[in-house]
Amino acid sequence: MNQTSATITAIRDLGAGYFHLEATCPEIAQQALPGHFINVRCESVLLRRPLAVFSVDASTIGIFFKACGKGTSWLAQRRAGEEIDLVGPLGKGLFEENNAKRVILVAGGVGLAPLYFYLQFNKKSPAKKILFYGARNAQTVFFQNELLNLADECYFVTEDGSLGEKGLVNEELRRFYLTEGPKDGDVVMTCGPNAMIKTIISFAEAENIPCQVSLESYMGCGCGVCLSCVIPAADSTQDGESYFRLCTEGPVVDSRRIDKQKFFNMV
Amino acid sequence: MLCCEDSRLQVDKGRLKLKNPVISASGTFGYGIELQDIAHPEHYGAITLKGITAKPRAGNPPPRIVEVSGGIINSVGLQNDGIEEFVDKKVLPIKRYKTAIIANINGTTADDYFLITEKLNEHESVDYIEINVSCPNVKEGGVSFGKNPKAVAHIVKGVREKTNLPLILKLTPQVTDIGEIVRAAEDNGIDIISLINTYPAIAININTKKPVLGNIRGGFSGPPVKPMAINLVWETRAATNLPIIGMGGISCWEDAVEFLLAGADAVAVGTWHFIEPDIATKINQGLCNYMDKEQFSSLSEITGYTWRQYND
Repeated sequence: MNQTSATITAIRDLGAGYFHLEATCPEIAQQALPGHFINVRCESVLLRRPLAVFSVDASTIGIFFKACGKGTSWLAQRRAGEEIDLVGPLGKGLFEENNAKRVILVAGGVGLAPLYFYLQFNKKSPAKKILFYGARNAQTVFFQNELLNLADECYFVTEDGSLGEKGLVNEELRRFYLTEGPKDGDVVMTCGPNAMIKTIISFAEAENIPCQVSLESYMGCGCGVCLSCVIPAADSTQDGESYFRLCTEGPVVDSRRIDKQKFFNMV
Repeated sequence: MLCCEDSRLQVDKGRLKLKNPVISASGTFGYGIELQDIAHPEHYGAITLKGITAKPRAGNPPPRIVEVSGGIINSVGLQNDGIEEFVDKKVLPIKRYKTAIIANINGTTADDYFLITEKLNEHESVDYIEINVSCPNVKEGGVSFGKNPKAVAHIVKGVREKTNLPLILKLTPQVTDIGEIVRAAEDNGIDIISLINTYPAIAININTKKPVLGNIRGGFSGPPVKPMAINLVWETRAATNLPIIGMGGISCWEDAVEFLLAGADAVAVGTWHFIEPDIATKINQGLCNYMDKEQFSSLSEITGYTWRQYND
């Protein structure tokens, strides 16, 4: 874990409120793994904003984010050459391939970020990587060329049908499995809006496919000390409740660890 | 030499003896070691560990934190593993660092406080016990004790009988007369006063029309409470000569100086750990520079400097 002042080397407005920012911080870049996040200090708000690592090279990290609140809107207005204060890499629960033979990645919107990093980081691994990427329309399906290069197969899905299949990404995933059928060594990795995640988890669990999910939660410290970002856990304790910290035991967790009913009622 | 080891920063008032005046507030610095890559425990005069209870507590349902204008509301609800393995699992890892350790104890009944104190006393592993009678996030006990001088007297007396360790009482700001609470504690053997805990608060999502926090209500903290906390330090200084640990909204060394001028002997940082984890070093450095500039030769000269101009 490092706290560092990173120089922004590039910031691109991708349209529709999405941004891609790159900053020099070798100490974080060299340690970051897929699933890790960074905590960004945004001057317009009090608490740091947790954002998934999108990409790294030897000295630079990239983040892909949507300007949807005061913090991320402030970040979107930064310019190359400016400094940002980062803490990271954070998180211990990460996307892991283990013995997977086929990795099914399901991304929704800005949830592409940690999965993109997974693809970049594991480009040479033997497992087959199949990406399902859902977005509102063609203008919000980003990094298409890079994704086509990184993944073995890509399925783009848009709500209005302006690119790829029309509909929702979970429907496309279901169609894929109807045709292909589940295989030994399949692992689903997913990140996106909660409504999407809910359907993906429920599909994967019904098909007995291990499912690793990157979740979001309101965070305080991001480092495990404040116990604010907890998620209801599937196992219970003496008094009937049990929670785990998303910041240090996630943000990527095995879907079976989550008390789905409580979690999706909460968000 | 690190500024946090500067001898001018030593606190030596009554039973409060620290190498420097910066303390981590309970619940904002875990068990002291988690952030050591970026915020080392030895930079603090003392580390207050996450609050403990007699039995394990799962804590309150999430969401447990929300940012509001200028600050945050939290309702963690004292999630912890209970006293049983506390010393082995939570205290021993921090013991090897050169900093004082404060155990923050909580109860739903007075007997809970006595039981925890007995256990802590057996091991002689902590340097101070902070009696928390001001947590707003538990349904029983907590702040309801801290508003009642008789309950405070009973708990402090009972804890005092179980240990000779220095005792700190952590107070709620939610009282009409803080002097009354302080005197009840002092008459029964308290050694040090710490204040303030958070203010009860609610945030509502106007779209869902529901409270944001799972527990509905939480405790508000952050820079906006600082002037109110300083007011209560000022009032507490008038009520007692015991050492005071001032806290509430500290986000920079200048805030720490203000608390000291109002009468605090030491300060604690809470919420701001989430924004600037390394704040303790910055406060200690700022205090040293301030002492150079203002020609104070020791911290005790700053403590109560302003208060005395209006009260002696």
